[in-house]
Amino acid sequence: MKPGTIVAENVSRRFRVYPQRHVTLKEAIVRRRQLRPVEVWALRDVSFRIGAGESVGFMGRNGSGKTTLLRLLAGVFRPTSGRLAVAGRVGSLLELGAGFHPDFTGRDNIYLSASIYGLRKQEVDRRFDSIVEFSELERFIDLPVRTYSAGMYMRLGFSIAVNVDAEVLLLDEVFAVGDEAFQRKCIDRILDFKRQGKTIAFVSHSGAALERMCDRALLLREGLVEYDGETGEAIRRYQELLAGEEDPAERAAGLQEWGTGEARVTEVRLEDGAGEVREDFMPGDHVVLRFRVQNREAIDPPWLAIELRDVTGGLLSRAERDLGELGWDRDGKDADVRFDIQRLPLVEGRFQFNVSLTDGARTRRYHSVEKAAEFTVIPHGEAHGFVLFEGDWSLEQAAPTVEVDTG
Amino acid sequence: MSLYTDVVRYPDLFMNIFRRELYGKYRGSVLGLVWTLINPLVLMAVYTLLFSVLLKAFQIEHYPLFVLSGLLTWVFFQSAVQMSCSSLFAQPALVKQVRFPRQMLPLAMVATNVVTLAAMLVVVLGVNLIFIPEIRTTFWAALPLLVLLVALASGLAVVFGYITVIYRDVEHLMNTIFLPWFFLTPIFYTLDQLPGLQGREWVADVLFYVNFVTPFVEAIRDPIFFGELPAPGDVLYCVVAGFASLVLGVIVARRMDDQVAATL
Repeated sequence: MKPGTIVAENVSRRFRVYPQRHVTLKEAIVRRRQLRPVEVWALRDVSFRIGAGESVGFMGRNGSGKTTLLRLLAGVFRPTSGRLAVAGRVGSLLELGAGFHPDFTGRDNIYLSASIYGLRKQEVDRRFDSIVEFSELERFIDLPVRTYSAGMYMRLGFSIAVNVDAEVLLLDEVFAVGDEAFQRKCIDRILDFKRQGKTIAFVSHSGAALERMCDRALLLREGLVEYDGETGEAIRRYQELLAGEEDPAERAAGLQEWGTGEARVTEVRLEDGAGEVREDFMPGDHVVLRFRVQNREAIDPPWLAIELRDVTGGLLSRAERDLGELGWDRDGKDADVRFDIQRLPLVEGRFQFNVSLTDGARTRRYHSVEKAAEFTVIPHGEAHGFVLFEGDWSLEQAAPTVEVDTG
Repeated sequence: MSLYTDVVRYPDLFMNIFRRELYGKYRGSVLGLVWTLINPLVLMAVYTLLFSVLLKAFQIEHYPLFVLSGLLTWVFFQSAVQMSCSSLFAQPALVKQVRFPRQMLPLAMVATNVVTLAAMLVVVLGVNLIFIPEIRTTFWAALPLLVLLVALASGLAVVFGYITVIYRDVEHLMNTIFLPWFFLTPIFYTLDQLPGLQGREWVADVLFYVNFVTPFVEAIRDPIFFGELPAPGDVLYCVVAGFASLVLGVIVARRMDDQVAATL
């Protein structure tokens, strides 16, 4: 088989899941009867063939078997039945910084992590400079990685993983790490691999990333291959699948945009107080979030929710409003909505707004856009941390005490 | 047996993991090594005070060195097995996401304990040679037995490293087991000096053959403390036990390798 080829024939993988989170030996002995594991088939009869140099996307909801498939390809475990063959060295970007020890220097960790990926010392020696150069950590390479920021840590992990010289590259969507400049570098590097004719298996929820990277995509559903073909079509089918989704966890793992589509949010932009479109702000700035709500069908006034999230997706705050109260016109045309933040209560970091439109009962989701607008807050003055923490200091002299002469 | 030969096949990987675990054990300082030697010395002092000075229970010349010679075996065995319990469990990212010879994690744990064993061996041999010069002609015989001891610990380290991933309570269970196990192992006493065993030699046999650490303790102590070559029967037992432990490790790893990656 040509290096880079992946062949899966009727691959199935079963997991035994115990109702309890952890099984103890005591329970296993004492209550053997009650400890019936539930059998879960994460993949069922999955067959495909990926030729050397192909880039293939894998999509599907949480629990559809994507992750299991990637771990099978990585060789972490084997199929329960069926045949899976991967020719050539597999590079996995599923776990960046595998095996890093926080007290070791960046240099030591490069050797440690690369050896876990299967490189010999001489092979690491040869790649060392390019790993360090790519990570842009020349000045920090002899410092313990515990002194690194999360971004630096991931950058080093990524640089090692992409220097393994694999024929098959496994990616999931966190592969672009660090700040925006480095993210671009990561993506460029992956596109380089694509040009060099390496095989890429890519799991993602981002339609844009999938379309950019892959000509072909597999849509998985409950462990079965629902569709295998052109990426655009796979994304379309995936969106259909998600439209009816109610579980927020599923949605959170979904595409960046989804919904039933009776009304839509478009033209999202951030402006400063003077009406200028901006992407970076300073703490305490006047920020205006503007967008257009398109009314596609005559519906009752929808509710609009805006979520403020940090770069990791953690929810910082949420604002919600009944558009009826703002004067929604049932049969009207598009409406421009404006959300004024008089003093931006953030200090430093990268943030995003997610916007969603639902019906009044909040059971039907017309449209949701993740990362509808992203922005950076540049620290200014004395403030540190995440949140602008403003207060007034005062001091009152307490009753005078006897002064002691300390000489 | 590739389970163990992988160590030689991927020496860079093993050395890197070994260095990592070694650092974890000694916090990267020679002083850390000294600290791990203090524990057996304190135990030696306490047992000497208790059983030799206060209770006058055992008539053994150089009693402190006798205790120390037994602790050499026990401390290594207990520490290696105990530490290997969490070796896989503590590295979920590695076990779940990366393909690599996972058994290296418990084996590296054993290797870090071999470092302590070597240091302690130097101390014990040094002191014993000064006070018991007659061991000069026999102490070499302990070395092959120590190799068998490492084999015993390696097999069990793999077993417990894997099992703890599935059964989370095994580590605590071992904590509970090791203390009574220690007392049932003739470290601060000898089986032939126990007054309660007079006329009940079969109990001694049970204590000797069922507790598989005992033959190791005695066979290693004979040449480095009593100045005698170990009994052939003991040596045979150690060979069989060491080999059986390695085989058990292979069986458990083969059966559970997949399950471990899927469960963690």
